[in-house]
Amino acid sequence: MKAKAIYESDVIEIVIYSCVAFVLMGLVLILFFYFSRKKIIQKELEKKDLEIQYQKELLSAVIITQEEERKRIAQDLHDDISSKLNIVSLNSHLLNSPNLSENDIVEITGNIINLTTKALDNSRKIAHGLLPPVLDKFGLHAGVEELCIEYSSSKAVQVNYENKTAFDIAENDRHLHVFRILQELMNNSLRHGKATVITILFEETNNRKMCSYSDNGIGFDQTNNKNQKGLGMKNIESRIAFLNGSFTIDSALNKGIRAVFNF
Amino acid sequence: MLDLFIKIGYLVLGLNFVVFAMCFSNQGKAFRIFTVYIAVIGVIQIASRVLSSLGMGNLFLSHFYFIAQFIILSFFYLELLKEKYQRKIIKLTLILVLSFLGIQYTIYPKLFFEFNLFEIFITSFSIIIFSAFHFYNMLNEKKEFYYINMGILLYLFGSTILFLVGNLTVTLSREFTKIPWILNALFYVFYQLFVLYEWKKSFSKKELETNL
Repeated sequence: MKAKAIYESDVIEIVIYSCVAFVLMGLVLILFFYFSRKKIIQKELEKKDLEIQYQKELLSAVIITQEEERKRIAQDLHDDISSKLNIVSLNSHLLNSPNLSENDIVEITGNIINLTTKALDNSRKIAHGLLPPVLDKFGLHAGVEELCIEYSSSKAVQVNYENKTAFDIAENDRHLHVFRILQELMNNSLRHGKATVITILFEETNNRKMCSYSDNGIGFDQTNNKNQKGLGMKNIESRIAFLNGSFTIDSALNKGIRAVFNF
Repeated sequence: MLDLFIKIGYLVLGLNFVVFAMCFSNQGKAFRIFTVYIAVIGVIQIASRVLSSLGMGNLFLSHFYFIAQFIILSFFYLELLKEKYQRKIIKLTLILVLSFLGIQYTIYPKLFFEFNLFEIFITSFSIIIFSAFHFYNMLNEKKEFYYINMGILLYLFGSTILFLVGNLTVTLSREFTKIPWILNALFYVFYQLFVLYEWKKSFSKKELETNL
């Protein structure tokens, strides 16, 4: 009887131990899930923070660009138009002064006409620079064509432009971004890249329009972080994001750049 | 002591049933399935209580308990899990296990009057695997039946081994027989407390809001 009791207590001991072991196993599993979950959520939060940070940077880039643009417009207005209108106003006052000879009047009115013509011309140029009327009226193809002609006419650079697709004028709002991107790229090629040949090509694959842009300038070192986050690049990136497109840029020192984006 | 724990277990189970039934109408399908689960388990427990007080063997009810638990919780997880392969595994397991047990009982009807170890093992561990799936899915998503899932996992881990040695313990003398069942009753109370906590955390507020 006693031997049986000992045997039974052994059995119970084993039962309890294995039961506790199983529960602990379950507990370990739950703790593992609990901490993994915490860690993963943490990582995701960090990722979200990074994204927000990035968006903030983009936003500040947009604001800075806007301010610079305003500054440029103000400067253009001040230099090219206000100064001329000032002289016009001065000359008009002169006309009021008594005892003017016939010759003086002719000279003054000649001055006024001359200056107003120049001011008009300049205001047209400024307006044109802000938003080319060709782009607005005739679409992206004509706009880019004109842009290329303008750049080519400076003789410093030769622009090859080819278009294998058709642009719907109804999508002009989107195309304006494309135009601005090209403007920015060409500006960079000329100012920083000292390029002499620029090639632009529009193609269409799988219903997505694609633009390839390349130049033969001095390029830049892609591994250098300083080159990657310039204002212009950020501007391009936010425009691409707007178009739901993707953007890749390849470059090496003295190899020119090659940029491809779709929209 | 055993009786005390069992009564507390009944009490919490009853409470759970009441609060879950209260929210029954304005909750999702998974919630309703779980309410049905609580109800069915409660009925089986009451039936076993009645049978034992009448002095009849109630061991055969364990089969109803395990199989009902397996079927209902399988549907519960089928509702919770959205991943295709996991759903496929649940459906396949459900069919395979049920057909296997059906075959087993037609060949050995005698099994009906003792603990069927294979049945205990296969039904409990299938549910444990499903609940692990659910934990895995919740790793990077919002918590859904988080505490119920925890309770199911812990209780099944603990109780499975106790049921598995059930056939052994019935042969022991009275003073030892009770110990595993005390343990089991204790686990059961914890399990039901988890369920209650889940209700408090996830559903009691919603209930109030919709009533206001």
